[in-house]
Amino acid sequence: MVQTTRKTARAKGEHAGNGATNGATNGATNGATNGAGAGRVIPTPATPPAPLMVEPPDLSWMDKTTGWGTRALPDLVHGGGLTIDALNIGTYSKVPDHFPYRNRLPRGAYPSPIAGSIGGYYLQDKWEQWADCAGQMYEEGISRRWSTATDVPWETATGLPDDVEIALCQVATELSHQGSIETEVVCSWLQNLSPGYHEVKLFLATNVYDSARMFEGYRKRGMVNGGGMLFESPGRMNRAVMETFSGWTQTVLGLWFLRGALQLTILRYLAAYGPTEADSVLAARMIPDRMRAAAYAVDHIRQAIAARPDQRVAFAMWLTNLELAQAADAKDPVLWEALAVALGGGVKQIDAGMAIVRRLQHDWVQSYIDRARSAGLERGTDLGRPYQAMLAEGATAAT
Amino acid sequence: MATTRPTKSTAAAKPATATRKPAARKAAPAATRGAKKLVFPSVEWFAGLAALAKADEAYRKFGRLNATVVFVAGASAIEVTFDVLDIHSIRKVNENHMRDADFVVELAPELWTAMLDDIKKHGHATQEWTLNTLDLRLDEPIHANLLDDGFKADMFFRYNPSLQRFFDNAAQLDFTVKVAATA
Repeated sequence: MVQTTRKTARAKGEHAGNGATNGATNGATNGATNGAGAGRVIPTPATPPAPLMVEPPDLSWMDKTTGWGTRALPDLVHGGGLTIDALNIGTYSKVPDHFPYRNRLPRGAYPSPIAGSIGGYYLQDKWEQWADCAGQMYEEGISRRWSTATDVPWETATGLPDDVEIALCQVATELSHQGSIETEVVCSWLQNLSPGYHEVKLFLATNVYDSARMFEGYRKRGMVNGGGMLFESPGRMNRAVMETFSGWTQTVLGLWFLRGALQLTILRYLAAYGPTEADSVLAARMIPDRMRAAAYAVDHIRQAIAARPDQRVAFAMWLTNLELAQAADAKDPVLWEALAVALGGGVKQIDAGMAIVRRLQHDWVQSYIDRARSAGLERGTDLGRPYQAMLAEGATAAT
Repeated sequence: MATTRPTKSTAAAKPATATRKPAARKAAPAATRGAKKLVFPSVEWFAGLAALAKADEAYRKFGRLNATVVFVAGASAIEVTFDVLDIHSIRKVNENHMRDADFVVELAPELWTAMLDDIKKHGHATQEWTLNTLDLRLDEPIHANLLDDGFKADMFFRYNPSLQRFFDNAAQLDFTVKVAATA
């Protein structure tokens, strides 16, 4: 059977080379055949090919398994299906604290002695990336996918005064920009994370889509009425997040604590006060995307601190650095004024809008504090003064 | 003039917003048509809502969720388990059980009434009566994890479109509201 198949392939000129078994004659034939263009004469071997020597098949690979017979079962009771977490049974349930292979070895596969290291994947410890909820967040990300193209009633985004439209375009520019930054940051870290913790990589793959959706969704909002992309933010926080070289965990703190809390709060206010149904729906649909990232972030920091309590102080200090970068951006009035005009109903109502913005700032800082506390990082007196001021001023502002 | 936020016991002031069209909806399942009038809050009311949600393509399109939620209205606390796309184990619970919930949603009786009236009138909650808006604009959030687990409390946001659709389907139920004041 093997011999027949190989002869057939050779006759058709489809076989690129059969290796040692076929010998020099076959190699010459294949080379000529593969290199021949249309209309060229294919040389005939001087001597007929020797019969192929068929060696007994080497099936030794068939016992290279760490968990034969480990059968994953779907949830048929509530329709959960076969989830990525349901695969973690038997020997496959062991998620090691350190994954020693700096190649693409799938967790639970039998390592090859010749695979070696291909570089990258230098974050090999579980505490540097793991979150128990990562598999669930992946499944939710896949299941709860949506499209800004068709799930937002864009036809309702009309009839706004120019000042409100301009303000919304400015907010859209900021959110779109942040989405773009997040996509690039997460992509740049993926190759550094060990494939031994595939649930994390899978979740982050969905996060790349989620952040891309924020980029394109708010770019569409800017463009839908001709306003377009407006003024770029100062970008101190963007740089802080993009230039975090100290670790993935620190990057998580940058992406999804202070900044993530700001995104959530802006989206909640746009959902509640958005002047058109399109603005409200677009924001409301974005919120679960942002919250999956928040869930991963909180769970990851919690588990990192549990595994490495000595890192808690370093994480808290990193949050202080991030607060400084974000505070520098927050001094710029553009985003706040744009939100005030958009949420207040126009430039003439900017005072009322600013009262809403002060509530928004309060809710942002409170959300950040709560998120940090959930992860095991009390801000308390470490919280920067600008944020303490936002808490105080926002507590008495009108809604 | 700076003021504090309205409390759970007073309705939030309504901002001027665009009027939204009711979403197209399927006819109510046979189980809910011509049946005895339901009363909110009750296990039967939430079971009726669960039946509608499970058959609702729009609800299912929002995707999987996993949360045990207790809805508190006056003296009544009803637990609902959202399990992927199934909704089950709907039952009355006491305060001790409420601590085991991922999160609790609590509104004053008059706010439940107003929210459900708005849903009945428009076919869905209008902007000022969504769960998100109420949570944002009242003096205290309407959701909480009673053991202060922020990770679990945040499920309120992570699953918000599903929960909103769940309640919006109340427009298809024939029911009255009778909320007993807190004991």
